Amino acid sequence: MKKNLLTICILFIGVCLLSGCSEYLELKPDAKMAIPKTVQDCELLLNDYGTFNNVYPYVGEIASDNYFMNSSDWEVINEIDDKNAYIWLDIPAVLSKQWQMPYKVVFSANLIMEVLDKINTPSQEDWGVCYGTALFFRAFAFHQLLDVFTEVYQPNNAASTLGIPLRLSSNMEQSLPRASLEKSYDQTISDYKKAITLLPTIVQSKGLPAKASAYAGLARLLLSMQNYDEAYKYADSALTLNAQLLDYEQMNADLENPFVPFNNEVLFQASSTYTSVLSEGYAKIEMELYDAYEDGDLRKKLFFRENGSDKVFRGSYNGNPVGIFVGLTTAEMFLVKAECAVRLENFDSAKAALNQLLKKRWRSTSFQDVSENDATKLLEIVLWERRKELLFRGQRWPDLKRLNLDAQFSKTLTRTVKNSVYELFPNDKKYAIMLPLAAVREGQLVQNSRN
Amino acid sequence: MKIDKTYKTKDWRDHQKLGNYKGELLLLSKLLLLSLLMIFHMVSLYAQTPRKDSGVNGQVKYELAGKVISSIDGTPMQGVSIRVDDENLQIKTSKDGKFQLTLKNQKGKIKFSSIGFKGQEVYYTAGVSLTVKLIPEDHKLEEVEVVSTGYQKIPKERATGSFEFVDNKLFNRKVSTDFISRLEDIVPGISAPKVFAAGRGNYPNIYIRGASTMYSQRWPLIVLDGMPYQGDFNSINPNDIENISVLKDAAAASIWGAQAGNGVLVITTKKGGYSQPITVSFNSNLTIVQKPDLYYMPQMSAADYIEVEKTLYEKDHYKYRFNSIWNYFTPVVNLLKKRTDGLISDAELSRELDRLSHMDSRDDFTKYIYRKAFKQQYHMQLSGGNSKFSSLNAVGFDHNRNNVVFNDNERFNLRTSNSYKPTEKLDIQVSVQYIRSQNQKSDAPIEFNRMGLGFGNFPYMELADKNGNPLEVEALGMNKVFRDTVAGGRLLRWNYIPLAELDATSSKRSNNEAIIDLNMNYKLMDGLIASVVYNYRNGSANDEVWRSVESKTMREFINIYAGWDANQVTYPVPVGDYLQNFAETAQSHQGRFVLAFDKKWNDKHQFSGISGSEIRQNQTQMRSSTFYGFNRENYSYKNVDHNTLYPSFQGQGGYLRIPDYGVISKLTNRFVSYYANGSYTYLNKYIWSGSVRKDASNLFGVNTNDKGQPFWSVGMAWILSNESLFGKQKNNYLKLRTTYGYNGNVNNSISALPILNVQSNVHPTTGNSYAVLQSPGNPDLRWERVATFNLGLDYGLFENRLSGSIEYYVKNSKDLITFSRIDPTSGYGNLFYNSANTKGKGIDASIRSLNVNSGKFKWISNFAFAYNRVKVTNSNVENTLGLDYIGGDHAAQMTPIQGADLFSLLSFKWAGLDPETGVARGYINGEVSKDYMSIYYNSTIHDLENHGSTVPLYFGSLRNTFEYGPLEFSFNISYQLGHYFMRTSYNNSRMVLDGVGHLDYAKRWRKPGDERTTDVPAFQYPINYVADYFYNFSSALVEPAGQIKLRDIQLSYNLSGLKNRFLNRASIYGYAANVMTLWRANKLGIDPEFGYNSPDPLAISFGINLKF
Repeated sequence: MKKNLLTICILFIGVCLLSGCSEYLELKPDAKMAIPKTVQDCELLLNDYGTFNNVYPYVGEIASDNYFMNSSDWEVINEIDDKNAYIWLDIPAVLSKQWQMPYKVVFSANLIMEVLDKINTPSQEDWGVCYGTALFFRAFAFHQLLDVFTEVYQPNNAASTLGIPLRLSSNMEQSLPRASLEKSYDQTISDYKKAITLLPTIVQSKGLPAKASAYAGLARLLLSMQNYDEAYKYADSALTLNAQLLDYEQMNADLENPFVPFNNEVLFQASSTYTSVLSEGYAKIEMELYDAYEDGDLRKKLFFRENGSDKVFRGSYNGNPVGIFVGLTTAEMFLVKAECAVRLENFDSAKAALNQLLKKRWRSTSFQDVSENDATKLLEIVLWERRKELLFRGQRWPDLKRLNLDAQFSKTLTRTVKNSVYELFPNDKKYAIMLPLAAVREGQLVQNSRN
Repeated sequence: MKIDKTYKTKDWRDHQKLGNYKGELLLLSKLLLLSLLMIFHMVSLYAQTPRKDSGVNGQVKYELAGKVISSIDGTPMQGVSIRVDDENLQIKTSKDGKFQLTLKNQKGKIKFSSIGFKGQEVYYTAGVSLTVKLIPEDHKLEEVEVVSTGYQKIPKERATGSFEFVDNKLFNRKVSTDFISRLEDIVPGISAPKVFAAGRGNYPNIYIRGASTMYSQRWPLIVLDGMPYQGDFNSINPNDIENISVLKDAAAASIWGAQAGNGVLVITTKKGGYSQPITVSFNSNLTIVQKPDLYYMPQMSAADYIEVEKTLYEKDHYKYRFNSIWNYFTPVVNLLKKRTDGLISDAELSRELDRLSHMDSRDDFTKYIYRKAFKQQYHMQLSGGNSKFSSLNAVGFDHNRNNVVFNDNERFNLRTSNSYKPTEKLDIQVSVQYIRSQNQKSDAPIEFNRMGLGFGNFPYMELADKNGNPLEVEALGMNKVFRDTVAGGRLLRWNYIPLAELDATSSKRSNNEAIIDLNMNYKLMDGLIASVVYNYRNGSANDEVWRSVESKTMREFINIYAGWDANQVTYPVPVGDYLQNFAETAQSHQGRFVLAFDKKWNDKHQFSGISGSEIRQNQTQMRSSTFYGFNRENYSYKNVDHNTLYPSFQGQGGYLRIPDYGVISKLTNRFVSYYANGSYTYLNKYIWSGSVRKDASNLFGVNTNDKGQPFWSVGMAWILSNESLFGKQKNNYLKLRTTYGYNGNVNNSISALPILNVQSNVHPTTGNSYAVLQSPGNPDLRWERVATFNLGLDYGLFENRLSGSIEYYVKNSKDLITFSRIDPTSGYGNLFYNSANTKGKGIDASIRSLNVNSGKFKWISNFAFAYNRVKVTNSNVENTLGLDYIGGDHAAQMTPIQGADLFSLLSFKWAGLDPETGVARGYINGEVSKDYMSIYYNSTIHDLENHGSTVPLYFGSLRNTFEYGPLEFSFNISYQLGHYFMRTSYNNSRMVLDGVGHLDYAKRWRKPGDERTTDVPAFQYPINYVADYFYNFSSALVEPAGQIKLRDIQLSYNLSGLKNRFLNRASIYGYAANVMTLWRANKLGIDPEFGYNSPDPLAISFGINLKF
C-alpha cells in the first residue's frame, strides 16, 4: 500500500510539473526581446539609424581628387587600408567594414522583407511603407557598393563584367558568387523602382526614405550608367515632389559647422563610416578646386575653413565630423537634371535647373544667370558646378569613372608622398577598388583583377 | 604638508560618511542583544518542567534518555560508554544506540566516549532527550569525510566521483573578506588567474580543472546550502561557512546538469546542532595591506621621455597639432613652444627641463593616492539546541579601507538558522539571512596609469608642489589654449587639479539581500525520506554615481554643450551636479521535491538514491534615472531637453543630444529540472553509481523541443582494502574509482532565431524609438556539452599517516560556442557558432603526510599537484589569419586552432634587429624580411611561432603544518609552471601618438653592435606603425612564466590558560599573505601572475577567536 501511495505521489508531482512546464518555459528571458513578427517590429528595426544610415563606404572619396595630404600627415595615419587607398596601391583592405556594413543593411532589409512576406498584408499602408523602406535600403546599399567596388557600367560589356553578390535572402549559410555588372544594376534599379511604388510622399524622419528619395537614388544610379534620358526623368520626378533648397545667404558662416543634418535640402540622410584621412586635420583641399569658386559664391566661405595656409572642408550635411555625407539632396537632383538636359540637348531646361540652384548658392547681389548656349561649354559648366556642390559626398569617384569614358573630360590623377609620385590613369582597372581580404578569403569571391 | 592634512581630514570625513561607522556599531550591538534574547527564549523553552519520578526514599529522581549516533552516517552506536561523574554513574549504549539513566540532579554534565571517536561532554537537562553525535578521531584509520553534492551528503568512502573537501579548519587558515580566495592554493585542480585586475573581486575568478568553455559562463556554479546561489559571491561571509565541497567530475557534478560544466562549489553553512550546549563564539581580525609597489611598473624615465619630446618637437611633429582643438600638450612641449615663441630664455628652458627630468610621478601617486589598507572583520555566533530544537544566530561585520584613497567597502551579515524536530519523522529547518554591503570609490579613475590620460600620462607629472599644495595637471585630451579661450574664456573653469577633486565624484554601490530557506524532511518509512525545499532570495543593488560640478568631468561635460554669443553663455546642461541612480532588483524562487532512499540488506547490499524535480525562476529588473543640475544640499534638480541637437562649440564638435542614460529592463530566467541518482554498494567493497538529469530553460528563439537537454553519468568504485584477497588490510586504505558522464554550459546570449531588442532610449541622432537586431539567428545552435572521464585512487597507508588521492581525467567539451570569422558578405564579420571541441587532460594529486607525531609535536605536510592541459581538437570554422590569434602582452587569448592549446601564446617569429639600422626584422617564408605589412597582415597561423600555453600546466602547493601543544604554525608554498607570457615593451607608435612610454626605451638600439645585446628597435620618426606592433607581438618578448612563491604564513596560539567557567576556548592568530617569491623562471623581475599590475602587496593579519 505504502509503495502504491509513493508511486502515486511521484507520478502526481511529475505530471504537475510537466504539464505546467511547456508554458512555464515560454516566457521570454528579456522583456525587450522579440522575434520580429509584426509590422511594428519591422518599423522599429528600420529606425536603427546606426545600422541603416551610417555605414557606407568612403574609400572612393579617399581615392578621389578633391583633396590631398601632406607626406608627414600621411605617415601619421593609423588606418593602413586608407593610406594604401590614398595612393591606389593594389593591396586589398585588411578591415572589411566598408564591404560588410552595407551588406548588413542588405541582410537586415532581407530579413525584414521576409517577416513582411509572412504577414502578407500588402493592402495595409504601413506594411507597404515598411516593405518599400527595406527595398530602398537594399538598393541604396547595393548602389554604394557598386560605385566603389566595380568597374564603370558600360552597356556593351556589363553582362561580362563582375558586379557584386546579390544577396536577396537572409540565409547566412548561402555563399553567393559575384553577379554580372548588368544583373547587379538591374537588381538595384528594380529595387528602387518597387520602392517608389510603396514609399510615402512624406516621412517623419529623413533617416527614412520617402518616395522622392527613391526617385533621387534611381536618378543618381542611372546617371552613373550614363542613361541620361531616364536619369533626367527620375531627377525631375524627385524635384516635383520636393524642390526645397537652402538659401546659403541665410546660413551663418560664423558657425564652425554651418549645416545641420536633416535640413530642408536633404532627401535622404546617410553617411559613411569614419576615417581620419577625410577629417579636417588631414584632408587639404586641392587649390584647383578651391580657386574654382568665385568670390560671389557663398560656398567658398561656408564650405571651407582655413587650417594654416591650407583650406579644409567644413560643409558636411552631417553636422557631426563623423563620416562623409553620402545621402541624397534636392541640390544633387538639380545638377543631375541639368547635366542630363545638356546631354539631351535641352539647353533651356538645363540652364533653368542650374540657375535655380545657383541662385541659392550665390550672394544675391552678385548673382548672374548662366546663359551659355554652347553645348560643350555648358556641359563643362554643369560638370564644374557638380564638382563644386558635391565634394565629400562620395560622388566624385563614380563621376571620375564615368567621365573618363569621354576623352574630353578624362583625367589623370596624381599623388605625391615622400617624394614618390603616384598616378592613376583614366579607365585604369584600379577604379574598381579591390575587395577586402576577408570577402575574398571567407566568401570565396573573385577579386577585381589588375591586368 | 598642507595637503597631507586636508587630505586626512577629508579622508576621515569620508570614512564617516560612508559607513556611518558609529551608527553601524550601535546597530550591531542592538542586533546582538536581539539575538541573545532569542537564545534566552529558546533556553527557557528548553528548561521546561521535566518529568518527575518519586524515588524509593522519597528523593526526587529524574530520567534522562537518549541516543548516540555516528556523525559519519547517522547510524546508531552500540557500546558507547556514558558517564555522569557527579553521580558516579556509568553505563553503555544498547544495540540501537539508546540509553536511559535515572539521575538525582536535574541538570549536569554527561560524558560519552568510544574507541576511535572523540569523547564528548554535554550538559543535560533531565526529561529532554539527547541525541549525541560522536565524531571520529583525526588519526583514525577510517577518517570519514562527508561530502555534499548540494542534494545529499555522502560519506566520501561511498562516493565514486571526484570531490575535494575543504573542512572548517583549512578553510579558516586564511584571512580574507571573501570565500573564493580561501580556496586558492589548497585544493588540487583549482587555479585562480590574476592577470586581469578588473575581474578580481568581481567574479568568482577560479577555474576547476581548466576552462571547459570559451564564450559561455565560465565560472563554477556556487551552491549555497543546496540551492544555486544567484547573488554576488562577495555577499557570502566566510565566517558563516562550515565547509566547502568542490565537485570536479561528471559523477559528482552531473546532478547539477546544464550548469555544472565548470565544476561546482557546494557551500555548507554553519548550523546549530540538536542537544548541544549554548555556545557563543567570537572572531575578529585586522589586516594591514602595504601600499602597492608602483616602482615595479616599467615606466619610462622622465629624462628619456623629455628627450623623445624634444626630438619630436625638433622634427615639427607638434606643428600642425597646435592648431587642432583635440590635441593636448605636455608641460615639456609647452615649454619648448614658449621658447620658440620667445617667451622664455634658453637658460629658463634648460633649468625647467632639468628639474622635470628628475621627477617621477610615482612618488606623488604613492604619497597622495595610495595608502595602507586596513581590513577589519568581526563575527559573532550563538548556537545551541535541545533534542527537538536547535538554533544558530550569527552577525558579521566587515569594514575594508582599501589601498586607494576614498575607496572603502563594508559588509554586514545577519543569519539565523533554526531546526525543529517535532517528531522523529519530521525535521524542519528554516534559515533567514540578511546581507547589506556597500562600497564606495571615486567615480573618476584616480589610480596610477588610470588617472587622466592613463598610460599616456607623462612620467614627470606632479600632483602637488613641495609644500603639498595640489597642482593643475595637463591631463585633459584637449588643447589648453582652446580650453582657455573658447567663448572668450567665459565657460566653466576648464582644468584638472586631481588632488583637489579626489572626492568631487563618487560611485557608490549598496547591496541588500535577504535569503529565506525552508527545508522539510519527512521520513515516510525506514530509509525513505521525502523532502521539500524552498528558497527565496530578494536582492537589490543600487549604484549611485555622483559628479560634482567641481569635478573636471562635469565641468567638461557642461562646457561641451555650451552655446554663446557676444552677450551671454547658455548652458543646455544645467550648471550643477550630476546624479545617476541605477537600481537593480533581483528575485529568485527555487523549489524542489526530493525522495531519498537509503537501505541496507543483510549487511551485504546497500542502496541509496534520490530522485526529484526542481523549478526555478530568477527575475532581474533594472532601472536607472539621471538628474542634471542636481543640488546635494536640497536634493533638487533641473529638467533638460534630451531631444534637441545642440551644436558643440558652435558646431565644431558636431551636434549632440544630452544623453538620458535611462535604462529599464526585465530579465527572467526559468528552469525546470528532473533528476535521479543512485548508488549500490555490495559487500562494502563494490560500488556502482549512476545519475540522470534533464534541464530545460526558457531559452529564447529555440524550439520547445530544443529547450531541454539530458545529462547523465555512471561510476564504479572498488575498495581494495576491504578485499580479503589483499588480506583485509587493517591499517591501509585503498580505493579505486572511475566515472564517466556529461555536464553542460549555459549560454543565454545567443539564439537560433533572429532576435530584436527594443532600445530604452530614442536614437541619439534621429530621436526615434528603435530596435536593434541583437542576434541574426543561428538555426544550427546546440547546447554545449562536457563529457568527463575520471579515474581515481584514494589511499591511506601506514595507519593513515600517508594519505591522499591521485586522479586522472579527460574532459571533452563539445560544440563549444566561439566567435568565428565568417564571410563578411553575410553582413557580419564574426558570429557565435558551435564550432569548436576541446579536450582537457589532467592529473590531480594530493598527499597528506603525518611526518612526526610525537606527543605534543606534530608535523604534517600537504602537497597538492595538478597538471591540466586543454587542447583544441576541432575547430570547424577555418580562419588561418595569424593576427587574430596574437593576444600581445600579458594576454590570455583563446586560440581555437586545431591541435593547439586553448590558450596558446603565438607570436611573430623574430629575426633580431637589423645590424645597420636597428629596425625590427621578421620572416616571410623562412626568409628574413622587413616587409612588416605582409608579415603583420598576411602571416597565417602556420607562420607564427607557438610557444605553448599562457595558463599554467603544472600548479599546486605545498603546505607544512607544525603543531606544538597550543601552538600551530604553517606556511604554504604555491607553484605554477610550464606556461609562457609575452611581456610589455617600448612601442614607438604608442609613444609618438599617445605618449605611452616604456622603460625599455633606455635599452633601444643606438649604434651598430647594439643588436647583439638588445631587441628593442631604434627610435624612429616618422613612425612605422606596423613595424612597432610587429615588434610588440614578436617572439622577442616571450618569457617563461613559471614561478614558486611563499604565499602565506599562519600562526595560531591556543590560550588554554585562559580557559575558565565561561571561556571555553580562546586563541589568537596571525597571518601573512603574499610573502615572497622563491623562484621565478624569467630573470627580468616581472611577476607574470599579475599582468600589467604590480603584484599584490604583503598583507598581515592579527585576530582573536573566543568561544564561550
